[in-house]
Amino acid sequence: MVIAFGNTKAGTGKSSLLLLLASYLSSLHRRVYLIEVGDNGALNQFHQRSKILEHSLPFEYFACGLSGANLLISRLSAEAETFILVEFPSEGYNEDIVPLFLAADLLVIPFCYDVPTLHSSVYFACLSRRIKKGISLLFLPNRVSSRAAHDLREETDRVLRQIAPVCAGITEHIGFQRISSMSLGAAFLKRSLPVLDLIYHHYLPKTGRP
Amino acid sequence: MNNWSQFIYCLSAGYFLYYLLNLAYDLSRGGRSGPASTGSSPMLNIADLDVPLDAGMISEGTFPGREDLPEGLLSSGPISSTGGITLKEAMGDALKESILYSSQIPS
Repeated sequence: MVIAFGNTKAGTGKSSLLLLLASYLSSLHRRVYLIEVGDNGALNQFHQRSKILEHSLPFEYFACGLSGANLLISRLSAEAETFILVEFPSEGYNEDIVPLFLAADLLVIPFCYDVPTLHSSVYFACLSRRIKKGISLLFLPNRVSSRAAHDLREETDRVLRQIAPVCAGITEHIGFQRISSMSLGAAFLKRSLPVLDLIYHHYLPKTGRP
Repeated sequence: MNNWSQFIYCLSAGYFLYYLLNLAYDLSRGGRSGPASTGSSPMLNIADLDVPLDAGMISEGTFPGREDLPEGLLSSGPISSTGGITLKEAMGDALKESILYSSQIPS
């Protein structure tokens, strides 16, 4: 099963949320491949640190360019019962990205409740639907503060739900800013467990699930 | 050959004669039937047939080897249109659509 995270705006938390999901799925004893499409993204930097610190990672990480990503995904998909998590590049869209949309069983769009991010998230969702008709999308609110009142959040969710489901949000936590390698602490993972459980049990397409 | 003009004239005359001979040879062959057909060749000279062919009797399957050919080898398949657009056009359309959605969010 191919689960992709994408948004045309950088800084929506794709890398950290993807890392969180990879760690979660690995904790369920699933075989997980993590692919970062693009050059020298955040995941690549985390991976470099993990290599130096000799972390034993529960999943495999690959970094590749846009042109070779589809081939890599198709090769890894040949292996049964695997989760392939893909981070889309935030920019540099060309024709090579189309197969990535087609390969995705679920496309998660992380976003924050600020105007620029919302616009880019809606645009990315509309583009995804135009490239692959009937694509499974999921809006994932990120950096939701339980203390702050998000004005117009209900209105925003209502509009987004016209396009795709909106998942429960990942709450803001200082731990996200302290991620520096691919090894996440168990306590940190536990904080987001309810949302990850929800994604796993409710939003992952039943067909193709390992 | 005393000079270049005479040489060119002679060369042209020689080539013209060669051309005439070729033409005469082709015309002399024109009255004959086409190349002798082998057993496997689907070609036949309709002009030589005493009884006209009934086109309704010919089906695609009667052409030798037709059944064994993979689909689409001799043609590009049925004409169809996907209605596809370029990625740039899709991005433009998606931008317009996203503005319609975003405008519903009060600012």
